[in-house]
Amino acid sequence: MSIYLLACLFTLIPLSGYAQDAKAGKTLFRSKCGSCHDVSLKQKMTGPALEGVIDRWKATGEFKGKSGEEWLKSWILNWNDPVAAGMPYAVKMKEYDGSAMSVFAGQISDAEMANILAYIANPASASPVKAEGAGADAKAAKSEEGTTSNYTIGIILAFVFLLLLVYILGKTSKEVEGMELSKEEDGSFKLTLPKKDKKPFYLKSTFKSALMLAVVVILIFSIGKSAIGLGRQQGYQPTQPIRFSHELHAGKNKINCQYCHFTAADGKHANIPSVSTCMNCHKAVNQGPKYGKSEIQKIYDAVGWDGTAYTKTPKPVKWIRIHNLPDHVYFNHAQHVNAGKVECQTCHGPIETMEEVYQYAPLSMGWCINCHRNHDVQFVDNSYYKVFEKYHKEMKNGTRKRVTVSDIGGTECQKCHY
Amino acid sequence: MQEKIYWQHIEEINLSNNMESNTKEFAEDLPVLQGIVEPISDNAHNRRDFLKSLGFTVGAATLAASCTIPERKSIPFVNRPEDIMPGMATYYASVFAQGGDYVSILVKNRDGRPIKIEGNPDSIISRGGTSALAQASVVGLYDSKRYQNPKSNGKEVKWSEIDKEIVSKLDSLKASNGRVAILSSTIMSPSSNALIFQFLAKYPNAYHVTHDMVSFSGLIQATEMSFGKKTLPDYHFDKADVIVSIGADFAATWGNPVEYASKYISRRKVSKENTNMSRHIHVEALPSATSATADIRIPVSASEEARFAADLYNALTSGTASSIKGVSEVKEELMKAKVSGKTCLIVNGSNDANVQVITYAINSFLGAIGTTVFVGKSVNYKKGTQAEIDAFVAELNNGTLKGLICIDSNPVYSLPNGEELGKKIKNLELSVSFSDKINETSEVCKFICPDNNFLESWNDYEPKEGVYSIAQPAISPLFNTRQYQQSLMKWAGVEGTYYDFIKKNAMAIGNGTYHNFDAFWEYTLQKGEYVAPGTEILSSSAFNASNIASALGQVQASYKKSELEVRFYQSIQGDGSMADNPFIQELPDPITRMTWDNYFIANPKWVESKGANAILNEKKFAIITLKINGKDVTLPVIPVAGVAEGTIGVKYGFGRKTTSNEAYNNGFNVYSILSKSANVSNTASFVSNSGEFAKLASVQSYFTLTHKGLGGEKTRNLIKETTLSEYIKNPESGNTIGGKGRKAWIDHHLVTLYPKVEMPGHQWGMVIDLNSCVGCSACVVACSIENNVPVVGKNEVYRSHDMHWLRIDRYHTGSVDNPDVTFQPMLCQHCDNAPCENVCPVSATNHSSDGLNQMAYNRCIGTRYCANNCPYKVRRFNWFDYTGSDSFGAINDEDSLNRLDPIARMVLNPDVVTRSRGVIEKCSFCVQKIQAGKLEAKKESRELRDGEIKTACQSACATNAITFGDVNNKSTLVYQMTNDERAFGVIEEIYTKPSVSYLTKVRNRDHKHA
Repeated sequence: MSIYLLACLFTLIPLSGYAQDAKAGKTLFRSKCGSCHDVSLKQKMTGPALEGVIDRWKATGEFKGKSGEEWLKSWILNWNDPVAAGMPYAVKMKEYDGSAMSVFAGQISDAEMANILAYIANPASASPVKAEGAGADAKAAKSEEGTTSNYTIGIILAFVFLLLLVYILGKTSKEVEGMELSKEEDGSFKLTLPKKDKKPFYLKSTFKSALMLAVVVILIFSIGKSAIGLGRQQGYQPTQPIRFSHELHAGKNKINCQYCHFTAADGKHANIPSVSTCMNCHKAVNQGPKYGKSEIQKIYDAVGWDGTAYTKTPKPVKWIRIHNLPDHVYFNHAQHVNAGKVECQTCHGPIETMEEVYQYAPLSMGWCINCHRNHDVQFVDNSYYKVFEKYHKEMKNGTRKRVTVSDIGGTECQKCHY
Repeated sequence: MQEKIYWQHIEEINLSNNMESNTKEFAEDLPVLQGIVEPISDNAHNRRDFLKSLGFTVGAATLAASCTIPERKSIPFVNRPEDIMPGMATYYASVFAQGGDYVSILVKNRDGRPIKIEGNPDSIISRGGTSALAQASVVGLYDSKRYQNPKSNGKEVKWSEIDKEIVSKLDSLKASNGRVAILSSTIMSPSSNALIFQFLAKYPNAYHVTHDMVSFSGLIQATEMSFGKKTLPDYHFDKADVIVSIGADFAATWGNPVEYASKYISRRKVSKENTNMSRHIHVEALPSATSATADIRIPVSASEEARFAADLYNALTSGTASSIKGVSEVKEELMKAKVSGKTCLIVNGSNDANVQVITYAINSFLGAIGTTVFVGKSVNYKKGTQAEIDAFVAELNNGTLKGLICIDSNPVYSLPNGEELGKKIKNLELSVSFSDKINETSEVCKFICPDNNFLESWNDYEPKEGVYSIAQPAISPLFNTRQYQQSLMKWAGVEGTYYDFIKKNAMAIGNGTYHNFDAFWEYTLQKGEYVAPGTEILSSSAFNASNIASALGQVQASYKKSELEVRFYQSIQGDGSMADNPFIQELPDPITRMTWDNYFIANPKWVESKGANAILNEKKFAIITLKINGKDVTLPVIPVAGVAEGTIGVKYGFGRKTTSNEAYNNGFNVYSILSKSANVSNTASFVSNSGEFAKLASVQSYFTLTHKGLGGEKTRNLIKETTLSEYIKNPESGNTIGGKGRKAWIDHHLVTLYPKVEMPGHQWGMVIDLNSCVGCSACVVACSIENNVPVVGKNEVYRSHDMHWLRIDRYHTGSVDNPDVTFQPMLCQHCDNAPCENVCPVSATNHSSDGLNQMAYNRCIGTRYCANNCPYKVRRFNWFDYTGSDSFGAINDEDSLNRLDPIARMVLNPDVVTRSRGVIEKCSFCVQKIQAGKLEAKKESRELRDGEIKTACQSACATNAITFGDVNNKSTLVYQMTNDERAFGVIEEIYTKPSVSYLTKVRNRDHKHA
């Protein structure tokens, strides 16, 4: 397995050295600019379509000793500067659609800026690269899973082998015990083998009772297990009304989870985003790679968009809820995402690889409790935990290394059940 | 000091001989021997029933197991409103105003539904407090029995049709100059008043009558006579050193109790630093919640109560001796106060203008006018006067009245001889009811134009001159209803919406206050109240003494003492307009501890003399008949300690005949026998004792906290009290165990072999100040609504199955005729050494590391061992599936209260799970609020602030009697209070280590009254 991983690494290295700044620029563009500007640079969204923008700025010529491209860079960092300087093109752009651009000064380095501009200058150089790296990662994960199950099978086989061995040895020793060595009249020794029982083994009472016992044990075990699992739905993967792909959005396009599920940090629910959130991008992106226009059209129908304006009656999308906790459990996303700094993937699995979302975790109480036992709270970083003076003292004098959720009472009944 | 004996029921007074029979812990015998010794009766369960239910259970379980999981939909907003985050609560400022109460509120909204009412701490009137009625009002919104459409002659019609019909009727009446009355309860809304004015301008044949169910006509009239202004006076209980209340239950029911209680209690809190406690003398015929906190209580008969002010005035001004007990005592007190320059305040609960004129005269004599009583800026809580009503009734009777429009009023129920009037109303040419639910009047009205619930409406209020507040809707109308103002606008031809109308009206107030009108509007909307500059400057008109002599004469003439007198009173259950609210019906009366009914209350000696003793153990009360105001009234009689001899009390607000649910139609309608809304009848007589008994749903009597103390030789002190002078000498006075000081006793006795349980972070604790509790019960309702505590109904309460997590125990001490009363809010004490935890076979109840006694409902198997072992009797068992949380659906005997109605269930708090049948539940210290508070702190990466987490009971309390917080943190208020010399735990001598402490009650009195 490790060889495989190594192989992956080697394939990754040339990949990352390949597309150079334009590819990095595209990624940067997506994360920094993509919520307002069309990534394909062709469509007008909240911000203008950026295809040819460098040429347009260049064409404005020199102003106050700076070239048009330099003014463009200055605009990207803080559009107020060129406007304040009175640069005519900037003043004109300020009036664009009435919405102000975000200020990126301090957020984009010069190198990043260069990459972004490289992408804008030549978007085609970044496009054909396939996300092979991600695929390799997924395969690696799969192979790891495979090894784990092989390992289990190996143990089981060894166990069976040992059992067999014990059985054979036991049988032999019993036979040896049953042998009788008698001295014949002629002085020779005779070995009398024990008399074989005529009954076949499956009619023996020991076998029958053992079988009975096994059946009962298996029955009780399986009934118990399925009873415990009642209402649980790990792996649940319903077909959603819109074939929304997390693989595409979170995986390939690397859109931050909380861009859409923005209430996860502050609210109880992670919130299925309203279709108006989808429209931030899909005003421009009206075609997907897999289903073409049909699925995105469903968003337009839901939000009432006719292609140019919101004119139709909106119809909310009836998503099918996948993660259903029982009513007697209180779960709050903010507690986990914000206060606990738990990754989304911890509970939702490799969501960025899911074409269709399924329930990754069992959502059983044992699963919750295990994490509460093993997961550290943000004990030092979050000032709230100052109240646990005793633990802070213990950490100071070295008797305590970590504070888990369970240490602060996170496995008590009324932390989740009330 | 000799240990006092506290008792709850009069049977307990003879502790020595009667006690045993009364200490039975359970109302019903446990069926231990059934089937073994006793034969099983026919209707009991037998073997075949067992097999049947076994078969059903197995079958059902198999069926359920084989079912696929239902598909659950999750439907997000198309466009998320910016301020709404799914799953998080938002709060909107609004107003609850009803029957004279004005409470500025914050409406808690969860996912678009109002689910809880909180007090608005920014209000200068209610100051963050609420009343039981305000707390319960949110339930009224989710009543599927509300009118869902307008009705014309019993048929549901469209609004446009009904408008057309009514306008044509109005026009024809206008043409024929037929009189039309608009009958309303007090309208505090300036816009509504302006609108009615416009309506009257359009229809000059109409006129407006204000009718308050519990009338303050006498006080308003007296103010007009004495000050020339038709208003209520502005009482400032916080400014008074000596308060004398003559029959006014001002802290719980009289006037605007939330405001009064908050101000009154601000001068009743004592600490070592602040012993400037006011002195409160209460003269009354019937024990009230307010008099429980009084320092001196003087029982007088109903007629004496009415005459008391007159005799007191004479005694003060001319030294005339009085036949009424207590006059000379009160006179001495007041003279002493006057001489030493103390401020005084006299309030009088009478509804007789002459009595109120004399009360003003006393206030004037003591210099209270302009120091504690102000008649200047108008106070609008109640506006109705008797003269208006008399004129209206006369017109209705003689046929001059042709039309009637009822706004928030129910004359058929609330006027004397209402049923007769109802027949007349039925024959009117035009009769319109705006009622949102069926009531006695809407039943006889031709047109029903259902009003929105107040939580669905825009409105504005001016409770006092200078205070302007806006009520905003917290939800769109659930049904096809329309605000009555909107209807009036339509009929009067006023264009636009009522919202625009309010806004236009607000211009006069708001313009020039902030940089523009919108800023004023938004600010007021957000804060709830706008206070005009100069409102805090109080001034009073001069008192006009010219009416005193005639008033004295009339009072002396009309209140002659007779053998039997009746005093009508209001309890915390309100005036009857909220009788169809189950939370109000099930709220125990603070004094009688009764629910769901009204009844006569009488002195135990009188009850005995009539042979009408109650069987308290069985909650059976003798039914007697009295003749009151010439009419026979038959009701059960309850012996209540402290009722003046020869006086009978009976409360308003019951005997509704037409409500949305028959379950609410209990008791007797007192309004029907009133004579001109006077609250006293001194011509009553005893008719007969029927010899029959009524079963009443009383609480507390069945879980008597045992009085046997250590070794059984002493009574245990559940209540500890002292006097102010003793307290100043020794702050720990009164706080004793077994005769010793508490601290010394605890240090000496409470030792254990077990290691101290460690609480590394928080340790939640609560302190309840017995001095501050006025028994108003807002906390009880707040607790129930916050925690989805069900209402169980009269029959279940009778069977001692009530579910309140928080109850207010009432204790008596002293003589039966005039006992001291103390309220003790009792909730789960979250004992650190909890008896309940040890006996749970499945550890469903256990202790958390932050000091909570946790209850895991899903683990509970319903053995009820914990409830049996709880010394505080605060655990409640779900005998039925009250909230519809059982997987297989409700298997209830009945659901007469519509608890399982999908609309009724909308009020449930989604942060608190509903409990299914067969599990125990109890106070959780509002753990959902603790968790939410902690999370806020974590999100902001800061330490928890003291007072940030407030339990539901705490935030509902108008008098700040409850303090909650982290006792592990030495800087918190609750830590300081827990370690105060006044703090004690109830029966802590049995080493339960309760997390709830109580502060001893301090009465400002001399020893001679003790």
